[in-house]
Amino acid sequence: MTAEHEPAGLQMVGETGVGREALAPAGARPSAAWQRTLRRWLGGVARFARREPAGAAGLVGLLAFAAMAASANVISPHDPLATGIPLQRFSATHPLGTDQLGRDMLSRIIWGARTAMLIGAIASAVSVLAGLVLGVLSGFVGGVFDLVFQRVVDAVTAFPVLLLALVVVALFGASLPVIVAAIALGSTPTVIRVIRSSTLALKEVTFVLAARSAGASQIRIMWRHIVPNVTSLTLVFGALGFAQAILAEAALGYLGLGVPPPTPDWGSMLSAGAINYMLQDPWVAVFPGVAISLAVLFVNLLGDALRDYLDPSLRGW
Amino acid sequence: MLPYVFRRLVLMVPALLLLTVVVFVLIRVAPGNAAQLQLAESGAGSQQAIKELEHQWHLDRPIPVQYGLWLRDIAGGRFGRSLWTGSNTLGQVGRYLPVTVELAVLSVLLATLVGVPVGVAAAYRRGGLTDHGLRFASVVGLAVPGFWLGTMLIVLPSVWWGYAPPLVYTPLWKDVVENVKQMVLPSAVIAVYLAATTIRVTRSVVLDFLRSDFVRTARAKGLAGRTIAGRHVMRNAGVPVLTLIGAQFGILLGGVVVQEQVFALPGLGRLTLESIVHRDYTQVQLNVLVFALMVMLVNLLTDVAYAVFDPRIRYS
Repeated sequence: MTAEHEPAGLQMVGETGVGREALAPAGARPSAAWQRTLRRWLGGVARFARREPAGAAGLVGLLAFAAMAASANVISPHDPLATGIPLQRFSATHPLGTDQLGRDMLSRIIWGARTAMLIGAIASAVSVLAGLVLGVLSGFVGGVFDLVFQRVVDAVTAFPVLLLALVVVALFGASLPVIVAAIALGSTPTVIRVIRSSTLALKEVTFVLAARSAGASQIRIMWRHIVPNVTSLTLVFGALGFAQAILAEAALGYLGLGVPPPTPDWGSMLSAGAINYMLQDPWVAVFPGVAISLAVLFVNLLGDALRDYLDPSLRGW
Repeated sequence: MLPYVFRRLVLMVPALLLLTVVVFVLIRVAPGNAAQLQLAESGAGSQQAIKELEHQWHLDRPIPVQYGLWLRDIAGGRFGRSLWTGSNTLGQVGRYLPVTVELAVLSVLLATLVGVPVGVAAAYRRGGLTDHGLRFASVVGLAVPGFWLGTMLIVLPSVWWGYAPPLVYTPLWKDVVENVKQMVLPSAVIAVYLAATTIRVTRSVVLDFLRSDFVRTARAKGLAGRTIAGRHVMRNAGVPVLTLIGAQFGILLGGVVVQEQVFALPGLGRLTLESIVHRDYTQVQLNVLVFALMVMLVNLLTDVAYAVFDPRIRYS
């Protein structure tokens, strides 16, 4: 296949935090252990923010979207399904106007965040976890399993990701599990490939050979030596996959294959059926698109920064 | 090189077989079948008629047997008739494929023409305002959904100037100007994502070269900056950029499929979606095969071009 950049992934992941722990007051009670952990985490986040300001901005933006999604039932000014006078312009009651059925735009955008975040998060989590397990297994076990399995990966990657999702959803109907599976199915092979090539490199590293000669079991080597060293890679792919999943879900919604109406969804708000209303009032088309773009932008900023931060050898890609 | 190409071609076969098996099974397991939909349309959907049609199309046989029959037909070059329209499936692909290919080619051209120079410019002005601006633009380009951009490009000109793109598709060989007028907007939209990636990759590659020993030597020899840029940097930057475009081809095709919907262009993606809705088994199966072959061949071509342009790369 195309020459993939070999991710280094060899440096130990994360900070051990030993230095910070040593600095903790000697008389700290054992029950305060979680406080130290918390402080270590916060210290890590602060360091990340200092070194990658764009990534920190992305993180803040993403958290804002997540908060919006989580509290949609509290903060949305109207019921996103309640109809009224269609295509109103901005007013105090409807800050972003109303759509073609008179539903409040702002409320639909807020509730749409819930759909996008939920599907994006689940789909990327599924693909990253599946990619991690299958990639490590395929690289570590090798042999016939690897050979056969890589052909499966070839087969799936030979098909445009979005088209694959379209086929699956069009065949099995648009429901949450089908949409999640369709998106994850397309994005997993890339993760498998990268994790596998990283595992192949790790297999020959001295500390793995040492563990093997010390009699560690295969499973222990995989779990204690391989997996921790591909975690940073997994995290990066999780973030980038999250952005891809939001885009894919929106595209499905646009094509009428997203979560079924009337559930508020950014993609379906832009669906082809609404084009006549958009021609009457382009604002109907503006806000959902801005919402998708912003969400994806934040996640991408975070993902790029994570990659630079965790694995500088991939910088710039 | 030839043995390598041959081995790659051989490796394609199991992957293609696997893919066709998956699609073959999925489409038959999914609710609704071609015979029911066909007869429901004409209103003659008696159980008897459905059974007859199913028998005629071998749908009453076990799926492995059906697959075997299909494989035999494909191997013999018989791609069959569409279960929905009754026309030759290969002929249908021939009618719809040109739009898809044209969109893909145009958008790659646009993305390269814009992305490479812009990426080089960003690298040369690294750290400056131009660099930051361009990098930000490329991050935004990756975030904006293509279908939205396409929709806005239809909606806004119409609202502002009352301009609507032509609704009926004109093939390239009928009227080049009219055709390009139609294709340029969707291609530009598809190119945005690709150009954004190209900018990022070109920038980082050029940055690497600018720090490299041979560029430093060239500079020490007293070569003009322009000569170094042309002979040493640009020439080397071509290979990674080419690889990138090859690797992104699957994503590119996904974009093409969406834009075919947005701009109502009769391309292969549109045909595939319609065929899926009609459970037009034969057409879907052939289309999937064509899409997969396109991606695999482009990947192979990329890898071969990679070795041709960069003599250091040898495949064993």
